[in-house]
Amino acid sequence: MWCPDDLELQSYYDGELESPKMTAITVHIQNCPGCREKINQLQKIVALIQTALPVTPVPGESDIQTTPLGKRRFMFIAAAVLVILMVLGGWYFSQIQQTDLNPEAEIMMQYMVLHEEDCSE
Amino acid sequence: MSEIISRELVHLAQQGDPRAIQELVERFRKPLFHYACNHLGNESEAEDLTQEVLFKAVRALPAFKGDAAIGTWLFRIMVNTCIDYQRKQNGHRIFSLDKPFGEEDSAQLELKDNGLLPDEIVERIELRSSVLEALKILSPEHRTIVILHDINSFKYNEIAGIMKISIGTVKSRLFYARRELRKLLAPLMEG
Repeated sequence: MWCPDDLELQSYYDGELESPKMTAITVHIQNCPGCREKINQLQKIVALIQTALPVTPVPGESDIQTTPLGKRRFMFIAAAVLVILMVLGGWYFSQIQQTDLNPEAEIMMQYMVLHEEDCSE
Repeated sequence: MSEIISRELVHLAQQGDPRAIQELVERFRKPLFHYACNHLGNESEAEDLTQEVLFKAVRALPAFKGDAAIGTWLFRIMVNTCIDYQRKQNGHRIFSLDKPFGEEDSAQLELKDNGLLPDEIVERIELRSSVLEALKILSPEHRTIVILHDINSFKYNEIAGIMKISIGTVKSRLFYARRELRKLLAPLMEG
């Protein structure tokens, strides 16, 4: 049976392989107790190191232009005000719609129209 | 890598903007300090070296070309400073973590903040001490790679950039370093 070498297994464990190779090794490990044991050993030592010395990731870098803090704060407040206005607007229009569709008011309107027609006759 | 540093911030810092410099220093101080602690096994030396590295970096910022990420560049300075420092010390050093209880260092205080029971804190301090001692037995190159990869979460290509070596060398050094650590820490792994 083909087995990946130790450095490939380590790269697999560290998530440093391309997708097809990752899949091939994942399938292989399911059927190979020897490679599975090597991965277990790697897991154990890395877990021990990381328990003893907590992981401290380093900030990454991005091309994205950041907005100054003051401007960011202003944009957040403006967005919040906009959302509140939209919610209030939605509620107001739904009330108007509800009034328009109020069945009792509609019946009253129909009654008044009919009553006017009767009177005119 | 959790946080993101913008190129704009780096650019402002390079131009001498004091707020941008301060923000960069604040963002990198902790990971650099932790790296130095793990590499040297001594917090007061790590503190001094972190200060020295940040000072060197701020002075050299205008010369930073941006061909690598700022984190890679800063860690390159830190790794070289630690290795040079230890070469000068010739390894004649005793771990400060062996100091008696009562003299709490920041790592011990961090453990207390994690809500661990007193027994667990003692156990964790002993484990930390054992792992640091084992790391110290490794060659500086092997130790550097284990810390950069397993603690600072750098990828293979980033470590290659920091140490100016090939990715293949990173892989093999990491492999041998972990194998050595497995041997040194075998009793703890069984337990």
